[in-house]
Amino acid sequence: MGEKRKLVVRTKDNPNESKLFRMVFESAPNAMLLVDRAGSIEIVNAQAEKVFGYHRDELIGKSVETLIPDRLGKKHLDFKSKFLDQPVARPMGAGRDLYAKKKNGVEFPVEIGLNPVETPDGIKVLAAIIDISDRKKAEERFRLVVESAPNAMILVNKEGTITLVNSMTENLFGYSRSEVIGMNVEMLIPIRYRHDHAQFRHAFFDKPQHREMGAGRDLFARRKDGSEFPVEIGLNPIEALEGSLVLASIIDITERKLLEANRLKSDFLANMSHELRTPLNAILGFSELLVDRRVGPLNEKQLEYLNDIHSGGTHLLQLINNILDLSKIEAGKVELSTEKFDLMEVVEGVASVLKPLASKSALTMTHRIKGSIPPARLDKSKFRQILFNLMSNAIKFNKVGGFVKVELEMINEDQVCLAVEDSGKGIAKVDLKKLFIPFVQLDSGTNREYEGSGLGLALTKNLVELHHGTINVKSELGRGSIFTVVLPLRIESEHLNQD
Amino acid sequence: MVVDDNLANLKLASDILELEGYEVCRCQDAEAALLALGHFYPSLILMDVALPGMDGIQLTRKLKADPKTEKITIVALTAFAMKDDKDRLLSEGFDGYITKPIEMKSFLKQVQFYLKP
Repeated sequence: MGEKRKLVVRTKDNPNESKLFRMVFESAPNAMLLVDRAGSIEIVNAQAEKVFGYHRDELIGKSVETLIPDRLGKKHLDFKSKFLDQPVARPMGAGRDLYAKKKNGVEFPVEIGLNPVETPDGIKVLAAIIDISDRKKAEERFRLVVESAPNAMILVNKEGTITLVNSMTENLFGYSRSEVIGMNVEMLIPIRYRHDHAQFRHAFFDKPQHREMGAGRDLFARRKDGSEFPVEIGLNPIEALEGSLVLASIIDITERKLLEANRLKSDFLANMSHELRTPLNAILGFSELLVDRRVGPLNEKQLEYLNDIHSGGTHLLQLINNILDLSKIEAGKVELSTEKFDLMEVVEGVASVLKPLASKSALTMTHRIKGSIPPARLDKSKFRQILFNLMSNAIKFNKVGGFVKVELEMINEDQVCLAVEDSGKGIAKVDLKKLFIPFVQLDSGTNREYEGSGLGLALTKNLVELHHGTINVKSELGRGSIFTVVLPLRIESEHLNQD
Repeated sequence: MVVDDNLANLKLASDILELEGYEVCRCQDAEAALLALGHFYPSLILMDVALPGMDGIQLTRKLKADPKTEKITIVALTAFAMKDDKDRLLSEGFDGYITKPIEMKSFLKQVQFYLKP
């Protein structure tokens, strides 16, 4: 580019050379014009007649502006005078969007190459013109296809410069297209992978090959805000006039990855549950068979030990069930199925189930409603589970002859508060926040006074939160504890986003 | 008939049933069950699901597709105890579903229920 060369046409001195020039000129595959300093067309070739739709007689002697859309005429005049001040060969396609006008007034996109020509009559301009309508149309189609693609698509050249992106790219990466076009594609890649990516890109252009999505790599991309996300990338080499390009289509696979992880976890849980239950079946079943003395009498010690085996097995089963419940809630796999019901009815039901346990420790169990409570719309079985966990804890962690109080109260128009109070030994302040952590039973280790899985409260908390509620505890050592649960009185299915 | 590849569990279910006076045919896998069904027509099959080789689901499908065995009540006796498992097994052609570990009294009650014509 920018190389100064001047074509010399000695039209008068050398008739042979002139004849040769004419022949080359005439048979050129491009439309060609020779224009003098004043802008008059001097010679026109056959292709020019075809492209512009004029007979050459109609053009020779006319101003070259005849062939330029009126709206661009002024610009062209400026350009022409500039060119003649400093005549330098200008190759085709030097970056401008140029248009020409046919005889019938129709505009069309062109590429123009210019060469200054020295003649005995002074400097003239030889212009070669190509109609690029078809190419423009193809380019436009390509842009449309890219734009309407459901994936983010990015066109990158050999140097790694982004030359085209679609609106999905803007959405996905958080950049507007003006922020990325002309920039290096590595800006869309986490910093730690940039070096490798550049090398990968060079290797790709050395041997450009179509690459399918998901060709086995774990790939990551980087948004404008610096956050990263897992992606799948398909690559398509494109040979264009401006050189080799690669069209990359990119999809965000965050959701798929999460689903995959969730599925793996669920599969694991299902298998774990199955594998643990299988041997437990024999442990629980045979010990029960023996305890029932179906197969013969037992002495007292044998009976006692078998009961220990059976209750140990039952405990283990309870643990497995709790772990599964907890994991299912955490994996978002638990759905609430709400129904209209009377809260107090459930309290009474749970109280009567737990009554035998309470009377073992001579506990007084009371329940009451403060004010009145309209029917609730919650997941009944989960509400029962919450209540059962809190009440059985209150019984378990209590003292002989103590009490358990259950109270229901509306705290405002649409929230109900459930309070379960016990007269147990209370919880030290430092331990309060450990209470809801899975497997942490206070007293753990040396002095496990109470049997339990250490999962009950963690599970209860999850169940409460599943209802968009909160659970709190107030306690002091030696003064018992009060667990309070605040739940919305009604949950409509559309409020649920667990699936 | 009880089909279970875990010998202890096969023995448990079968022994409980025999103690109650039922006649029980014990099979360790699908192949043994198919062989036994050639000369034995049980009123109920308690079928483990995770069997080696042909699993309990495939065996149930096969039996339900065969006019000679399609009328036999087949109940899954399985340690697949998640809520989805029940729905899945019932949709695969099982007539009922009992989870392991079993509890003797409720197990016998369920067996009686499924044996009712």
